Amino acid sequence: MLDYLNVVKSFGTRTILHGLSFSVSKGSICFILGTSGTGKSVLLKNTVGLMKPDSGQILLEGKDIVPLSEDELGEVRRKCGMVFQQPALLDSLSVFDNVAFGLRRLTKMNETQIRDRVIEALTAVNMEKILTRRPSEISYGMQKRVSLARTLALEPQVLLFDEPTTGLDPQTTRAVNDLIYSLSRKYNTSSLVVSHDMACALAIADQIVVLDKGSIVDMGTPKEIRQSQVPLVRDFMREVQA
Amino acid sequence: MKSASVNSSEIRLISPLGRLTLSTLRQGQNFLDFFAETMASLIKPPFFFHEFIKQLHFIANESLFIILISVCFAAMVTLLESSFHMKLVIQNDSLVPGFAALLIIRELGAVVTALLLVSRVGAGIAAEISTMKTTEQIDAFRMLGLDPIVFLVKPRLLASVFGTVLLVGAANVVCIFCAMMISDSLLGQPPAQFLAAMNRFIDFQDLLFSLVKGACFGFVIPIVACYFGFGCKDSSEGVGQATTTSVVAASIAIIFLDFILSYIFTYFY
Repeated sequence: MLDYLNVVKSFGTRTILHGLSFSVSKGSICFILGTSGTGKSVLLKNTVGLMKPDSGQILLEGKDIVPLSEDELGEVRRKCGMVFQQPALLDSLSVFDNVAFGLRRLTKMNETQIRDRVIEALTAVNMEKILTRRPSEISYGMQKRVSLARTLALEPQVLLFDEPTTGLDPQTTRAVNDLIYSLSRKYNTSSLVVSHDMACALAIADQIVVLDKGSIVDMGTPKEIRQSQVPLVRDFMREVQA
Repeated sequence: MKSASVNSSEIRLISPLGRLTLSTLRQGQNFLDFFAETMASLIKPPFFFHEFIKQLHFIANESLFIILISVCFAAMVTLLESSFHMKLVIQNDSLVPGFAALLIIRELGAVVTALLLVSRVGAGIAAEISTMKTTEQIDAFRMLGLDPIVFLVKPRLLASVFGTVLLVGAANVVCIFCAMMISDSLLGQPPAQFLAAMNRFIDFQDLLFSLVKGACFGFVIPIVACYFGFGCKDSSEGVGQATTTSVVAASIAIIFLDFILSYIFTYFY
């Protein structure tokens, strides 16, 4: 579904991604773990053309998205939904309009269909009762859930999550993780999740990629990662056991 | 050995200059790219009319009071200072109303308005755009198939050009009115005499040039503010830096542009 082939990305003289290569198969959940500043978010932004790698290929269903123009990337962005680290909601629009925004722009649905889809997406994140509220009138955690609903409403084939549970309470964190799992199993959606949460990765991921300083230091199924001898992975595992 | 050390000290002196030159050239190229993209967006659909009206309200309506108050005092000072200097040099200030009115129309109304707009509107736009960038709203726009230049820059640019022209027109009227009041009350020259002097000194093209200056300044303010907003570093410090830099750059650009336009306009007389 998604293949990274020797992806390199630098900012000035600082290389962030050192030739990453791995694949995410259809319907699977891949967690990218690593300490802060290792290029995890940069990798996600490269996946949807918000940034361009210096070299390498990123294949979505076998098609390289790196050389695509901004207009051509529209199709890629329709297939891939991204939940940002920040809620990134439009302050001037209500919760309903924020979720409906992409549907109005990118689909040919009528207002009744849009309304049904928006309510369905907001119900999935337990936010269906705040349709008319503005982002500034709800908490950060609620904003993050609305942001997730906005992405889900477009029913993308690939979901990219940039630290989806940072700043959320344990109950909502569990709900978001369950949602990622059920989307993958129910709708065969592929998910690429950037996170620090090893416990969650071990619980729901099909594949875990561990990054350190822009390079892959370990990669495998949760079972393989549990047995890893890589120091960084051992550190993550110690935190899970604690 | 000696020559090697001289060379290395020379390199130490030259390299910062080289870095500065390269960074300035890169900034210039980035700005030109941004400018070209913005120009292309003007003919690219869609046109967000609601956003345009919202920006016009912010730029013109909400700035009106502060601009009129400021230009009103600037006009009164211009008149008093002109009178003082004329009396000092030729012991007669009968020509003051005509000269002052000409200065107000050709220079003061447009430039003072623009500089006030830079600090109010330019700073506001730069802070808003850079905050949107740091909170990933601009990336979210792109993910939702929306070109941020078309949605954010285009309505602000058009609203600023239109709004600044309106404000410059209003500022000119208020300036002239205030100057006329001061001329009557402090210089002893009644409104009829002031208007007669104005009629003698000011042509229609002076009014036109004033509005053209307003349009040009109104164009510069959002372009500079949006450019620095989009280029902001992803931190709260970056937002502050982008806002300050945009105000400084836009102010300098307006003063420089004022000189260029005034120079060009002299060829029309």
